Order: sequence, then C-alpha cells, then structure tokens
Amino acid sequence: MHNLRNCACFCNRFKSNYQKRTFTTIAGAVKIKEDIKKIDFANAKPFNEIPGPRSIPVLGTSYEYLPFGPYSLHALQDALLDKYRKYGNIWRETFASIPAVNIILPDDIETLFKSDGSTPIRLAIEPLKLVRERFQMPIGLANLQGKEWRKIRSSMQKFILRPAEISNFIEAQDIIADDFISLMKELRTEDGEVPDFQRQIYKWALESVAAIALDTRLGCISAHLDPSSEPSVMIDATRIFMNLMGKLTFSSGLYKYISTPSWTQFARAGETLLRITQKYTEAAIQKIKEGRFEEGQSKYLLSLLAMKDLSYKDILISSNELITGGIDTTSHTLVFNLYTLATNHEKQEKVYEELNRILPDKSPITPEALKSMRYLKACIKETFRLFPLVPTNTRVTAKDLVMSGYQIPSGTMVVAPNIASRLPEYFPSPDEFIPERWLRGGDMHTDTSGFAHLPFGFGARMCIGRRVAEQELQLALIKLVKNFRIEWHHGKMGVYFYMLHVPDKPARFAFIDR
Amino acid sequence: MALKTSVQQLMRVSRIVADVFMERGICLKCSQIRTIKIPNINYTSKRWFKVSAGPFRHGDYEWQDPKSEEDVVNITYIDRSNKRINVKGKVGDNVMYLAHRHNIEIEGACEASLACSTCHVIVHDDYYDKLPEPDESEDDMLDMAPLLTSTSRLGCQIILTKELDGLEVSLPKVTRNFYVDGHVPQPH
Repeated sequence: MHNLRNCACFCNRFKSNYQKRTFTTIAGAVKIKEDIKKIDFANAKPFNEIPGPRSIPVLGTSYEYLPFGPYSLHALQDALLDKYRKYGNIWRETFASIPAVNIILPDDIETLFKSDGSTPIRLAIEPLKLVRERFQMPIGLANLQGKEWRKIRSSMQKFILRPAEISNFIEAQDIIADDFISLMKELRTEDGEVPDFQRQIYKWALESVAAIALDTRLGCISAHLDPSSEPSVMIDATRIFMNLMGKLTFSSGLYKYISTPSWTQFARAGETLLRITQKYTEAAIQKIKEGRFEEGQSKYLLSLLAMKDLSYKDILISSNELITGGIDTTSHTLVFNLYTLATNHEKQEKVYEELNRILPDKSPITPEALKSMRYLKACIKETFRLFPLVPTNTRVTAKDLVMSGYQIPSGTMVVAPNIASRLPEYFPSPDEFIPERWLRGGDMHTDTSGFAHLPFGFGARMCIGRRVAEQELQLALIKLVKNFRIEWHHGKMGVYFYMLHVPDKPARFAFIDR
Repeated sequence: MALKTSVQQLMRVSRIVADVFMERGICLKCSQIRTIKIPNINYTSKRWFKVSAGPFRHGDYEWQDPKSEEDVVNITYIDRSNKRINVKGKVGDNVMYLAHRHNIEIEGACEASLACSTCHVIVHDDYYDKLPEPDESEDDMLDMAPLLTSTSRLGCQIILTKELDGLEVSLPKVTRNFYVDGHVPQPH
C-alpha cells in the first residue's frame, strides 16, 4: 500500500516543515522568526508601536479609501499589497470604525489560528445581523458566537462539511452539471460564446445549492427562464442582497439609525429570500409528515429537520444562509477557473488528458475518480491563489498573543489578508499560473507553509460550504473541459471588490467543441 | 492637465455628495421596513424518522461497548507524558472519538470535518502502511500540523478495522506549547 507516490509525498512534506527556517532566511524581506517566536508577551514590543497610517477621529484610517485618498476600496488587494510594502509584516488600521491589526506572515497567521480554542470569535456582519433581528429570526451561523454558534455549526457540518458525507451529493451535482452543459450547447452562438453567460452560471450555482439546502430541484437551468419566475427572483434577490451587504458593511453605518434606500432594498431582498426558503422548508416538513421522502436523494434539509435540538427557525436560517452564500461565491470562482484555463492552454490540455485517463468515455463520476484528479484540484487551488474570492480571514483574539514581536492583547480584531499567496517570498513567480506547485512530490512543488494560502480560512470556523463548493466546481469543470476547448479573447481579467472579489469583466468565453 | 484632474475630482466629490443625499440620506418615503413574521412551526412529535448514520457521523458510536470478542480492536495511545493507555476499541470506531471517550487529550476542534489539525497523531511505523492512503484534503490539513512526522495522520480519519488490532498512536509533544497557560484541550 505504501507506494512510491505516497513515499515521495511524505518525504516532501516532512522536508517542508523541517526546512521552514532555511526557506524563510533565503527570502530576504521576511526576517524570521524563531527568536521572535520565543518572546513571551511581557517582553514583546507594546501594541501601540505597531506601525500604520495615522488614525483620525471618527473616520479612523478609512479616509485612505475616500475619493481623495490613495486607495480605492474596489481595488482592495492592491491597497493591501501597497501597505505591506510600506509598513512590513504587521500594521494597524481603523477601518469601518473598528481598530484592527493586519498580519501577513504565515507564522503569525498560524499563531492566530492555533489560539482559536473551541469557539473562535469572528466579527459579525452588521447589516446581516440587523436584518435578521428585524425579522425576529436567529442571526445565523456567520454572526453567532460561543455555545450557540457551536450548536448550529455542529449540526450543519455533519452533513455538508465532512468529506465522507459530501460524496452523497455527487449524483445530484453531476446531473446538474450535465444540464448546464446542455443549456450552453443550446444557447451557444456561432463564435462559440454563450450570450449572458454570467446569468447561466448563476442558474447553475442556484440549482446546485438548492439541491442541497432545500432538497429540491428548482429546474431553473433552462434557456427560457421567465424573469418573473421564482428561481429568477431568487438569483436577482441574492445578487442585490450580497451587493448591498457589501455596500452597507463599508458605509457610514447610517442605515442602523434610519432606513436608507439601500437598507430598504437590502431588507426587501432578504425578505424575498426568506419567504422562498420558508416555502421549501415547509414543503420538506410536509414530506416528513406524510412519510414520503425517498432514499438516495440528497438529504441535508431532512437530516437537519430530524435533529432534536434545532428549532424550525434555526433550520430555516441555515438553509437561507447556504442559498445566499452559495450563488455569488461559486459562480464567480467558476469564472476565474475558466479564465485561468482558457489563458493557459497547455494546462487546460493537461486537465483534459487527466480527465480522459480517469474517466474514459462515459464512465460515471465516483468519489474515487474525483479523489484521483490531482491536476484538476491543483488548478483550482492555483486559481484561488491568483484570484482569492475572499480577501481576508478575520478573528478576534481570545487571549494575549505575540505576533511579529508585538503584543496583541486579547480581544483585538486581527485581519489576515490573503496576500501572502501573491508574494514571491512564498510563491516564486507569483503572477504565473503554475498548478504544478501544488502537486505533492512533484519537481515544482512549493514548500511553503499552508498558512500562506487559506482561501477558505482554517479551523473550527472554516467556510462551511467549502466541500460542497469544491465538489460542485470540480464536477462543472470536468464537464466543461471534457466537452469544450475554452478560449478567452477579451484581454486581461482583473478583480473588483465589493465584499468578495469578483471578475471585472463579463464572462465572455468561447466554447469550441472538442 | 491639472485642471482636468481637479474637475474629475470635483465630479467625484459631487457624486459622493449626491450619493449621500439621494441614496443614503433621509428618504422619508421608505423610512419604515415591514417586519415580517414567520411563525415557528412545532413539529417535534413528528421527528420520528432516523437518517441513516454511519459510524463516522456523530461520535456516539464509540460509546457503545464491543458486542463480541470478534469485534474488539486493541489500541494503545501514548500520551504527551509518554504514558501508555491501552483501550479496547471495536471495528468501526474513530480513533479521535474513541480517545474522547477515554479522556485522552486529543482536541478535535472541527469535529472530524477536516477543517483543522488538532487531532494530529503519530502512527507507529508497523501500522502506518495498513491504513488507507490519506485523502488530499487530509494532507492539506496535516501540512499545517505542528511537529509533523512521516507517519502522521489525523486521528479523526482513522477508522478501526480488525487488521489494525494492536495499533499504536502517540500524541505529538508539541501541541502543549500552544496552550501556554496550561490549558488542557477539551473535546467539544
């Protein structure tokens, strides 16, 4: 059983940890660390000495993102990279009236996550919390803390995060990916482009997430979807909800006191989504009452309903949260993945070769087949590195820590921007798309700390939709690369930030038949 | 050139001002948001059905004693103070949850959902090869485990089989260091 690949893989991993020190001393800019690590809290430099832009009353340091300031919020990644060059591995900011420490070093990020404890604290998303409170609903997993959070999280992650359970969804996601391909073939014009492709991707994302969160096939992957139909309304409402959530989060906070138009629109979208989720949750309860639930279908909602310690409202909000969190995220990640494959043809061919080797002709997609697609997974990881959907991981520290030699007292908001993955110190030739750097045991494998690249976060509060999203993406990419040669003729794609990083160009890919 | 930029800046400012008054400002028309009322449905009495749950799911399977001698799988945990703790497990037990039952200090913050590496154990060489190969998502998490060795695994991913009878796993000595205040990791 202990074959060569495995051996190489482990040796490499062993080496990777062992060599951490030598590696980091090579990188001149990053002065490490083993000595600093030994410093205890009392001997560390005081918190106030952490560098950073000057903070002014009321605005804090957020004036930097105002029209006359040097940065734009929509180009957050550039701003963060610039600050890293200016201040180094650690700096202080006061953003949206919350003082925060930014850390870049993977070792500091490790310190942060390792201090997590059993119920890590994350800052609440204020508008989301407020809208739920107005509706007299639970505030949801993203906002909960402590024991309450643990209860909901435990119930949900049993069914949608554990790898062993995720394979239950392959069948449903597989059919949805097939439908998506048929839709594309139907809509495709002569030059291979699919009109309004972004919209079609939203349909795929909604259908996939609803199959799990609502236990329902909505049937929205169709060329002639009525704009007033329920799925269309859901897509629009989610887009509005997410966009305005970003806008309100980074706004002056006026919406907390008076109903601004943005707030009203945001709350309406939230209400629409909640109503629709409610309809399907009640349908699921009806199904249970009548005893007609089929074996073999994806059973997330049914499984939650069977749990004694969850209330109906808890379940409703959990489904609602999966829907709102599952459309904008996966759909834009798919676009980024298509872009990196389309602009790196030889890598795309490699994926195609791997697919043909593991899934010849029409063989069904099994959990084992998915497991063995190492190159495809490396491509997805590499795309996340180049286009991190979520810009930062955040925590509120639960105890006194030392980071980069400074005191970080308990209760400090710490932000770990996902930019170490874009620095040559950690990933050589950071702007190139090199999936091979993720292949363990390969010649080009990059021996960098896992904490340098955390697109889904880490630990007990890791993204709960991670495995569902990854599998969904893998299945869609398998089908897309198998059917088409993907091309891109519209210049360089960049990112635009509102709360997530999204593509700054419409998704106009050309799909040429294989 | 300078004029052009200043005009641009002025336009940006006026847009912001307009934004404040038109969009975020005091709009009396819609100053009220309807509160929707969603009734709480009580259906507890109907929670009679069971979702098929494998031994992997809840961590309560490990609390059942082995039904017969044939089911027994012996396992030895070597804790941070090098103490050997012999445990009688059974086929299908999860090494992390089994440790929780016997008060062995394995944390397991993410409850076997492969999101952390707090249940990191070092498997004895003789048994390492008998385990199924780690999945890539396990490797990803292991990469972030302190004091990694070439026979490291995540405890939550080891399911006991008859073949593993006599298994020896030791807890990495380093994890303690993260709990500087002498905190003892607790299962959740």
